[in-house]
Amino acid sequence: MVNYINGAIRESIEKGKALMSKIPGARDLGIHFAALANKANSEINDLNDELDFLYSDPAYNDPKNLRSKFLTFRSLTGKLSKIENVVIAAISRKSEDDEFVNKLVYQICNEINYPLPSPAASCLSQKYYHIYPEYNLICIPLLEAEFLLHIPDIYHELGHPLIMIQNNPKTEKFRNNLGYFNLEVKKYFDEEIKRREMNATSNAEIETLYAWKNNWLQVWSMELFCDLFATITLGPAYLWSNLHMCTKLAWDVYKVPSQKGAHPPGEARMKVAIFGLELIGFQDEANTIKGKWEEFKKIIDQKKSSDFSIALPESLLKRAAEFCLTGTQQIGCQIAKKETSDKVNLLLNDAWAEFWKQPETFFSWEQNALKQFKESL
Amino acid sequence: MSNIGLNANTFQLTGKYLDLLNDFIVNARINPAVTDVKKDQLLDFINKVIDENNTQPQYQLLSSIIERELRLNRKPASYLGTIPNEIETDNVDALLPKIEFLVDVLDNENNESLMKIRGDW
Repeated sequence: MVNYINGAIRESIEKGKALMSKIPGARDLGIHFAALANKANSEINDLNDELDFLYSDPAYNDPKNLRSKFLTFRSLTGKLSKIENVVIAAISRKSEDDEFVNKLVYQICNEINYPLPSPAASCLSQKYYHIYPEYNLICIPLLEAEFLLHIPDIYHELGHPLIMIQNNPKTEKFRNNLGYFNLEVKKYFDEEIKRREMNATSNAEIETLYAWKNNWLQVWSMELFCDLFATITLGPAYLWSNLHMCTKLAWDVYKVPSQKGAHPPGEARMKVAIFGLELIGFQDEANTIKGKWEEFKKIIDQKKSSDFSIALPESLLKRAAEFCLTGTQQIGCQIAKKETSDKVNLLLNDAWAEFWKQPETFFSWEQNALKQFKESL
Repeated sequence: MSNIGLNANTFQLTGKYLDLLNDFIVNARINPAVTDVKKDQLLDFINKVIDENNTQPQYQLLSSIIERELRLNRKPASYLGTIPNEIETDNVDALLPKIEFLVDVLDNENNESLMKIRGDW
């Protein structure tokens, strides 16, 4: 297997070179993906250097370190595979709508005074809206460039890089607020666990609490902060968009997942966003959205489970809203107000207002508004 | 709003520290007197993940991943607490199994997050 691993490393180096050759030159690449392509080129180059080092380094070639050599090999090839699956795929599957979505994302960043460079946008996502903060790449489903009601999800995705990019002083205060909030989450669960241990509660129940605590620290608090960032910078349209998504996807809005890495339940996301909306002065709109949300839950017959209030207590959701608002203010982002008249903010909030006025004829209003908006960008 | 962004973050973060820890192990196995630079980097990482009051979300995430594995492997919460002293005193025999444990934890998480990004999971 010593010969095998050295052969496998050489093969991966060749794959790295082949990947580089797949990155288009300036003429084919266009403006929006140039930074992404440069980043990919430089990352592949570094990975090939590391593979070369792994191949020849005397310490890694010592028989005692064979397992570590395999492990590092897997880690480096994983990174190459990610570049292939994410960056090269985005660059080589350019769509006609990329031009529009890149302008749209830039306009949003401009309006909310986003503290980081505007991400490049690719319009061929097969997995709903998502972002790769390390590549500054946001992926949007193909048809979204032709409709308006889910566009607010872009604001949610813009929240992720604020949390994930380490050591950037421009976003440090946002991260700190999430960090302080997480300390409150830890305190809450540590006290709940301690109390149950004193009462000799079953191990299974205590393990569930540990699982929820881990989910908060690994997923939920970040996701809820992104929901809040979107609410705070866009306003009511984000909550309507969230309701719209729930009607299509997740009906088990009270189900508290204890498996690793699951999203927070829909009820928690809506509740936290309502708290956020109230904090920035949209009390009437929050009440209207709350009413429609309750109506929806009644239609789909969803009832609060007994563990929901323990896993996602209202007190923590309210604190999340307060911490996120402070963080968003401290990094200088523009907070949505009723009188905000920025182009995208107005379009998305007007779209939802129009939808509720005449849901069945909304489509023609939407197409007309979208056409005018595209011309004005 | 899929989980991809979160998985990409976990992949990036675990990969970064996996490289540091694995590099440390490889050198420590060959030469028990590890260079000061690597010691400092390792010490900095360990101090951050064992600090209960750390306010950086990325370290809180790593601490949470490690805490879960300690519990599942029935290791005491204090298992990592002696590492700083073991680094300072070059106690490689006591240190190596602990760093190897951390490498396995981060490697599993790293691999799992990559599979989720690629849609294999």
